[in-house]
Amino acid sequence: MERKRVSHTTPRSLALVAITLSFVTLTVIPFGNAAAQGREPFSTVGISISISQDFASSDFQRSWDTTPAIDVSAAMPFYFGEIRASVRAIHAHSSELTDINSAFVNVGWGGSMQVAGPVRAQASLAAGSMYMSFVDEPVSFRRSESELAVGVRAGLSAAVHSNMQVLLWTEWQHAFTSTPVDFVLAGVGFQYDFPAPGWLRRFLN
Amino acid sequence: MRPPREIKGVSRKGRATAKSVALASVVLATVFWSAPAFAQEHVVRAPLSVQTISGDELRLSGLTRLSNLFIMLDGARFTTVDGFTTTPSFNGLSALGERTWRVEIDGHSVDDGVLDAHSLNTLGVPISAIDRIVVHDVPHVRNGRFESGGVIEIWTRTSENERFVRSTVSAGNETGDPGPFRYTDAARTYQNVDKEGPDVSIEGGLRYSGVDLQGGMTMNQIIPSDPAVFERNLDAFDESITPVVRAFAPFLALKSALPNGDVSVRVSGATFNDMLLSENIGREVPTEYRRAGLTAVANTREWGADWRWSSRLSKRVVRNQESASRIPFHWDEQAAGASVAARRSFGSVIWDAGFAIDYTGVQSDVGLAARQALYVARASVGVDRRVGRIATNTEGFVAAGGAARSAGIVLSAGTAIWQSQRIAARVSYAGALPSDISPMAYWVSRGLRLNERSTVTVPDRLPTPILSSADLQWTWAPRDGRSLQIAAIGRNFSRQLLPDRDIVADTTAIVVANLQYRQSWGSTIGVRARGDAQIGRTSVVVSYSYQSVMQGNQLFYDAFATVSRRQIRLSTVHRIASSFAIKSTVYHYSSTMWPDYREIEGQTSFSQRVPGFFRWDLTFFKTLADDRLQLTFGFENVLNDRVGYHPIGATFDRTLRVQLSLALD
Repeated sequence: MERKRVSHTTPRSLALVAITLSFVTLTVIPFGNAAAQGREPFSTVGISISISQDFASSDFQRSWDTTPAIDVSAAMPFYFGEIRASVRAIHAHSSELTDINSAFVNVGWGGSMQVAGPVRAQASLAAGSMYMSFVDEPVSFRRSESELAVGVRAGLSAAVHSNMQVLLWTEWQHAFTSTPVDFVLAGVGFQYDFPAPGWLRRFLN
Repeated sequence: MRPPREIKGVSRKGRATAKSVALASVVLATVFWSAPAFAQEHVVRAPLSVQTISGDELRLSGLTRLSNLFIMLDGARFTTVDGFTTTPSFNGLSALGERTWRVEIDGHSVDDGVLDAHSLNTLGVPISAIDRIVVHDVPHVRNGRFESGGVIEIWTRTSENERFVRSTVSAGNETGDPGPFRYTDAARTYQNVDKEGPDVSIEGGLRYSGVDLQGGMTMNQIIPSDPAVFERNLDAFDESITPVVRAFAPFLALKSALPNGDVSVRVSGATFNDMLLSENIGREVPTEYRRAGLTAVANTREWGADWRWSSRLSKRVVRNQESASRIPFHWDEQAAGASVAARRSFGSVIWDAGFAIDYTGVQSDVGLAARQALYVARASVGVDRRVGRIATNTEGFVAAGGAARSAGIVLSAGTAIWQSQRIAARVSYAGALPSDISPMAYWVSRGLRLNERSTVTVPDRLPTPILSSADLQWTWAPRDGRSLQIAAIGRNFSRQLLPDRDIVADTTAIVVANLQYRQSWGSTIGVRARGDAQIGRTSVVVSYSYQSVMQGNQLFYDAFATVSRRQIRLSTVHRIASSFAIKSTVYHYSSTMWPDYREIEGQTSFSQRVPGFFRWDLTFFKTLADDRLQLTFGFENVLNDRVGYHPIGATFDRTLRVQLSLALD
């Protein structure tokens, strides 16, 4: 397979925006007033689905075009803040190199604070494994790979119903490959909240 | 070490080398009767001389393998080439590579390797089975044997229920893979880096009529394929092979309470293939061993003493095929031993007396005669008594093995002083049997040759190594969760046999050439300090250890240059809830020098200087389902400093480890 020469630039500006937003939000949020405070740990479940687009222009994007990413996650109140388990799938296409299917399986933690009316600011950190499948790789043991990855996320949520929220967020996703794989994603989605079933609470507690 | 607060529950992917480096198996059987009174601590111990790590603490730390234990111990340094075989040096008692320390499981002496290749992972002890690990790191006498290099006691736990099953699965992935950049010129490497696991352990047990029967196994795997190892293999093996280390170790244990004591039997085995490196005699010497033992203790009331009898049998086989190492080597060893000890009180004076005899027979298909035998006899006596406010302990021993004789004495004393403070001192002066300190040199002196082209020489007459030690310690321990310990440590070695080697790198191999065991002498001094505090839900431990060579010959300086001078550990455990905790630990090891590897300088990318490092580990621990499940996320070397322990060894970059344990009882 042909190797394509690319430059070593990083998506500094966009990543910086995402990181700064996230850390500012995380710093500003007084976790004593976080949404999860006052709620029993694992008392509710919030299932969310989002669609997002990568806006980074790093080494990876110079060789591959990314399609919109799909996020599915489940969030629950934690002892402090909120814990979230997510899967994010991104497909990357290259006319010269192999196509890539990736899945970022992660666990995140964060919090939120009320900004105005039904609007809340959210921020979270996530870590997990980014699984990559190289579709056109002819050597079998090289067809897949996984690597530690982290995500820093900031966003807004607005309640549109008693148990439904609309989400607007941005996230910097960084995989620790020898040359890092960076994504800067902006996404929109919705979240549905419901009380956690008793068996799930007992399991998690 | 203060017990922690209780917590609930607590590639180049692909081708492994076809050139099998090692095949090893272990069978261990032990019977043990113990009377509780016999196990009581001596009245005086230098407090820092005993470190206890509870099983819960091990599991909370995300420890997936026993071989990773050493970094959790204060004052212990270690080296590892592949992250799997590990050689420690406890509290300045030895240079790295000397096999003077010993391991016990539930009171039985066991071997985790042979000659210079050792791994605690071959003992077949799942982390989930550990109740506590106790480490003694000052010279002392026990069961008739002079322990000059430290003892690791592993105590396993049983279940309160009649039946139980525990299983653990873990895996780790080191960062730095090429990922998709393998297909571009932006890649900084085209090799995948270390991948650990999957490691699996399973154990189960049942109780019937007062008899506890347990069985299980551990299985470990590591693919040490980071660039350092990859480049080294290119030099050593002519080709870019990726080594794979695998160990499989089953065990069976039986424990029962008898009217006059407890009984336990332990049988275990291990296969160990493709072990990459051993450290001392040329990293390619693999191990294979079998071992069996029998130990007994009972209480004979008519004598008013607790007594204990033990015996053991073992067999260990090392086979190194002529391939990767280019050191064809075959080692077949059988050993048997027996010991008896008694303990009796006369008022405030407690007497210990012990006698032990060991036999070791070996044969090698290169060099050694058909069979060589070594008989060792040991006897010891100990006296505990109180003189006014000062508690004292005196231990003495004599031993004879082969043509060598040795004897020694250990004196210790301690007393409480003003307001929760204690002061204790320990001095020892002892000669050790050469076969205990340098088994390799001993067998070479008897005719062992590694292969036809190896040149290993020893003095015409093996000397009796003498170790003198002095420990002085001050402890302040108010009963509010805080404590502070400071110790001054001195060691003097004379007539020590140390290896003087040339490590040669050419275009086909990295091998040990011109290995000579020569006498050396020298002194080391050291300081250790440790502070503990409990602040709300957070416990904090800070420890500092320093040791340095004060005087000695060049060989002695060179040997201890491989031992890190400074060691710092800052550990905090935040118990956020009864089922959730976060542990953060920062380690610092100062740099080391490996003068033996001078030949590598300029020929390969490896340096004889191993740089110091800061390593930050972060572990998240959660129990689920009424403690039946334990989930651990561990981030090792979060800041991705260059962590390495050996000039030709792997470096350990940022790693994610995930471990899931299931306990049904």
